[in-house]
Amino acid sequence: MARSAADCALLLSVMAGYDAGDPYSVRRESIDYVAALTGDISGLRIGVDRLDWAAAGGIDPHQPGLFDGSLEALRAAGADLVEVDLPLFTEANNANLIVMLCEALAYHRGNLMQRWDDYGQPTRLMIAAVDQLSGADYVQAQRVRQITRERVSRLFQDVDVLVCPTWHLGALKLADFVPTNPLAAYAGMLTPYWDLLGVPALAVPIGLSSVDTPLSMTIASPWWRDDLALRTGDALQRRTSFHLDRTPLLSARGG
Amino acid sequence: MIIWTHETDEIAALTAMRAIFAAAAETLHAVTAEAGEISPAGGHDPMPR
Repeated sequence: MARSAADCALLLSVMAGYDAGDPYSVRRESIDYVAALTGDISGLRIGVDRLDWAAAGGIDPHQPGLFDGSLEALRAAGADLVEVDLPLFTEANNANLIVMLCEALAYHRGNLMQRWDDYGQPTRLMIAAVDQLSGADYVQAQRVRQITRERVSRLFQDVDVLVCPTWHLGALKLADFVPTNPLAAYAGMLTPYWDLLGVPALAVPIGLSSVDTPLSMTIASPWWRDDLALRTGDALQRRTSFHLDRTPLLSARGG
Repeated sequence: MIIWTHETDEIAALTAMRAIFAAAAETLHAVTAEAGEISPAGGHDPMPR
């Protein structure tokens, strides 16, 4: 969304807030996201899960060292790091996929029937492919969502933010994307977990993969505490410059 | 089953993904709540608030 965590804080400052015209909007006291960027994370408790076991698509040879290097930068800034296990990780990722696509099918079903060719191929295939899941499957996915929220809520009693890889591979190149196999792009993707929980999650660059595509780490904070994720990301970016790097792939294309 | 396409490659893709989604759903039915958590059998509204 932006080049830096600081720019994300600026964006959120103008986007966040109560909207009486939005029935899903919540009236809460506003947080000054920009003022939260103090650069000081001394004493901040960071829970770390490397999730190597979840790397379904493999692990880029650069990823472990770059991830650990960023953790070391956070530690040097004064944070306390502790290893954690993110609860129900596989199940929550599956639940997110099912909830998202079942709700998409409910919304798009009429248009898919009438205007199949107007949808992009990967989109229409993914949405249509949940047509055989049951109402019980959808309800159970929502139950798993609630159970996972309860367990992560307990985890946040012991740590201030949670950190894990965003993916163990660099960003997928468009040329490698197969439209009739969109799920392949999801293999090993670690962001659906945070989508399901609905917590703030910030992906910050940590360097380039072995094929010069971006790698990143996710910093997640408790519900409504976007300021904590932003402060952590900003503290990292004050001490590193990965967020300013440009892949040589762009230069090769004249970008 | 709903089929909105007659393209062979799309039908094959749908068949493969349906199997993956069915397997994903099965992992969810193995999850049970612990004490103090919302019980899947308790009739609670499962939607998060």
